[in-house]
Amino acid sequence: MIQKVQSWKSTEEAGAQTWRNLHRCESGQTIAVWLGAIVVMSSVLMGSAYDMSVAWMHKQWADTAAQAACTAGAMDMLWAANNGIPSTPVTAYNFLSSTSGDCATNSSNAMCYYAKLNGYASPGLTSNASSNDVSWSMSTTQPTNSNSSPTLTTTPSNGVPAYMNVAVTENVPVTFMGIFAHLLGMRNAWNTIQVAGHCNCGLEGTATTGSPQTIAINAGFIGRFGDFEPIADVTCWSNSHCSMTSSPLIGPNDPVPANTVVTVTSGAIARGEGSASLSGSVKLEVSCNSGSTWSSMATLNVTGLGSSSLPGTASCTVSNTNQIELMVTVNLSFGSAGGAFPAGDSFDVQIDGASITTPGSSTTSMHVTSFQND
Amino acid sequence: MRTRQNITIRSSIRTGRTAIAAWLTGDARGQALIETALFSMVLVLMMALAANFAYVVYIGAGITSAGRQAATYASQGQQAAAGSALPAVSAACQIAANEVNGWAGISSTNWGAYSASSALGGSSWANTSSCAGNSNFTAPAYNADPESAYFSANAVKMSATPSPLVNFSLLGKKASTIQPSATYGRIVYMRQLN
Repeated sequence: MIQKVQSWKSTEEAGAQTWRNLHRCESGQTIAVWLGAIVVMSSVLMGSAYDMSVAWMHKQWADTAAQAACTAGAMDMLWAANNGIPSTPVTAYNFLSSTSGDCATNSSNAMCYYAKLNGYASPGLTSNASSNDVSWSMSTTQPTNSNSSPTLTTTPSNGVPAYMNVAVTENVPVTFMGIFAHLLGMRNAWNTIQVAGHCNCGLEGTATTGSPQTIAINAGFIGRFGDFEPIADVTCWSNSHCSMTSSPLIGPNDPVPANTVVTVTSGAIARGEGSASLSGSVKLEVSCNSGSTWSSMATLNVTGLGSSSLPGTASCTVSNTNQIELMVTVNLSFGSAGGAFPAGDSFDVQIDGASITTPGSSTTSMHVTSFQND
Repeated sequence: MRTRQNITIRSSIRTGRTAIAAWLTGDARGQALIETALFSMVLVLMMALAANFAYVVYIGAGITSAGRQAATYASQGQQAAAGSALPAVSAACQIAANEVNGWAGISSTNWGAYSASSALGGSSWANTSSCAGNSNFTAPAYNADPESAYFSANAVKMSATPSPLVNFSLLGKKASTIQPSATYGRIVYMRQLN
């Protein structure tokens, strides 16, 4: 009986010992603690690594967009420097009149257009929300540490600075870091990470501008009215008023340097003879060939005919087809009611010394370069 | 001394089953082996996943860089002081090709370079046939330069579907079938003076 009791006790103690072994603190504690720690630590590390990787990718995109925007702006600067004018080819996109700006408020320029094409529409930065902003500034001095040679250290002859900096700033949404911040009670603290891409670029080389070229217009008698001696291209009726367009004084298709801005610096002289009540206008028209059609027509107007110079200037830009045309159009009436020309009256239109001046040949040794990204 | 050596030898050659049995019965000598084995599997899996994720990031950065370099070269190729002519777009293609050649998951059929200008008609991209295989590639939406009579817009579009760098097996399935497959694409636009 005693042996049975001892045997039972022995068995009971052995089972208890096994149970204690299974649940002994030292036995499973290490793996449980380590597993828990690893899960927490790896979640934090991998989550942060994921968010930072995404932010780093956005940084690369922002750098690329900054370079594209900066290059686009510098291309406009190059064109303006080559042509000796402080404006972009299309004035609606001109940004060269100011030295800095932001695409959130002024998006009509090449920088904003190319930043948008590369993924940054620049609506402006919004705190703790996905957003971006593109801004630019121009400088007359090259950025430091550019290691660029040769460099253009002076402002081109058109007065526009030679260097530009574009900054693309983006608030990148984060996933895991935002969750961690919320768990730690920092509401909205890590909803976004701000990354920025910068690019310095500008014009490199030597700015040289050729001598201005003048294309003179031969002075001469081109039309006579009143005595009604019609010439070609003259349209008159009822002896009351008439209009005519001269044959081209220059052109069509007279060659001038590409990208030349043609400016008429002095006009014609219109003379009325006989009746003093003649009125009308004389237009000196300059047109440039842009592709297959003539365009960019500009006019000089005069009213109250007499021996006076036509005021103002007319200009247009010659595209790469190198063609220009200049003509004279006359519109005349007799008196305010448009009466007929009195018998014996006459009217002459004579071009006296008008000319077309081009700013000279463009530079050929300048080009755009990106100096650095940071 | 001899007994201790025998115990050590026996412990070192235990199978996992005997180690687990020893652990259940309170024998702590197999515990480290079990823990190491468990941790190793988890750590190796995590390292493989981290390597594959890093490779995806690397591909993404590389694609962005390739497009950027190609587009930059297409628009500013005349870096030499005496240079005047811009390179052909085919040269930009080659720049991009040099960047992506040899990457896993990148083939010559999923990237391409495009350029357009008023001289080219200004209404569509001039698909460069010299980019190998890009006839199967969809061109990006056409965006003309706002001053297209004077400037051209160059675009280089790159995309890739990277394969897992570490194609490990888990429960008999390859990582390439477990991990989500994604195509990564990027378009870079740069401007050039005509």
